[in-house]
Amino acid sequence: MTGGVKVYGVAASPFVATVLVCLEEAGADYELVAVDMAARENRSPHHLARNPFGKIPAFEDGELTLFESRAISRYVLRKNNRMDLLGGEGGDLEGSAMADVWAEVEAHQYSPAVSNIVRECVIKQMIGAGERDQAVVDENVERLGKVLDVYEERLSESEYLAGRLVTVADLSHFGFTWFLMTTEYASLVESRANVKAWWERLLARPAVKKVTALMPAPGGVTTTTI
Amino acid sequence: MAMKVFGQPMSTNVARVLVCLEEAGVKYEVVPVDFATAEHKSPEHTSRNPFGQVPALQDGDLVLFESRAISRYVLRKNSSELLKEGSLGDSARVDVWLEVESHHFDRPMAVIIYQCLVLPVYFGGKTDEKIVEENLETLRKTFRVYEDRLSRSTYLAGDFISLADLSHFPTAYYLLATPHAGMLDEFPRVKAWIDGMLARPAVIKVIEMMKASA
Repeated sequence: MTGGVKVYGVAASPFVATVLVCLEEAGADYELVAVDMAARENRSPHHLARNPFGKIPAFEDGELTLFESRAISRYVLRKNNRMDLLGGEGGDLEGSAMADVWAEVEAHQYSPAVSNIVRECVIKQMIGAGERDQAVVDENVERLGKVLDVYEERLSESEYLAGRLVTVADLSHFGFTWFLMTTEYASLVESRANVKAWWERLLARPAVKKVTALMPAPGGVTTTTI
Repeated sequence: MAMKVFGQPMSTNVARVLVCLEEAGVKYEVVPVDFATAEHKSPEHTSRNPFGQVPALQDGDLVLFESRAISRYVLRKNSSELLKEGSLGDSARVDVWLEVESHHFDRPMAVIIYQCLVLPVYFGGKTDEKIVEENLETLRKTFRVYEDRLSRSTYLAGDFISLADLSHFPTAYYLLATPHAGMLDEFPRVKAWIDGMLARPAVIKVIEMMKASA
């Protein structure tokens, strides 16, 4: 047994990227196994056996197969004793609860809005799926603005979303925010001083830098990488 | 001091937290939040839930929001077996299916419930059947995955009931109240799994609270 885990997907996927950040933070050995999205390999029987919804990422650690990026991320951090990144160092009930709260905020408030902007402004062009629907963009820019107003207030109270220390709640924002910042809507972040500073703190992390090196530059992605 | 849950039990997100409190055997009090008077947008409530939603939970000085985070906290604090945090693999599987519930079940269900139950009853509006049909198709795809999963284990995360299963109950309960409950006949294991959950004492208690607050 090699001891390394496998992530199935491509680094250009915001969900895969978040898992990679957690693996890097955990210092875990891993292999990124490409899934050919253009050839619809994600709908093949062998991929569906790992992710029955035909999405990426999927993940294998020996006999254990997981999917859903946020579940994979938690497993990776727990297995590698990074309870600090789950807010729960030393069995801290309050700390882990705050990390869970803001991880849910990412999943239910932040990502639904930002993913629509990223899909319309970046991904559709990358995979040749048509032009942006500006009405969808405008609606989600307004939605995201309101969410970021809450973040701006929150980040005036602490350096990271769950409190004083960085947690998976912050790290799970990496993938979609990376792409947002390549669009003209980067201003949503840049116009909010606390959010901007928080994003820059995340970008400065060695683990995040390793993954940004794998992410596509604007216009630099081919159809085989998404 | 008892924990306080802010919100009405008829809300699926509030009910999710209530079932965890019941399963954990924790003392709690429900404090209603009146949407009709926009109490959910009041400074007092938004100081607990900055997105102006329900539920929020207060436990001493700790204030939490987001129902699945609150649920984890309640269960973890009481060392509940519904999280399986003693096992790396089992807890990971609970996390997987809790994510699935959020993204592949709750999302289409929220639209279906709104169109079929909320819009006509509370806003005197007309159900958009096209939107309902689209979301029923998405739900069918999800149920196909569940039907297969439940052929391999008794519950979603394994042969043990967990938060991943119970997190579905409030929304599944409302599905049964829509004209589309019959779709469950296409998925016999899913139907049996839902029926099993609805028979749990904790769930029965919360359903009574949901009915009383409607």
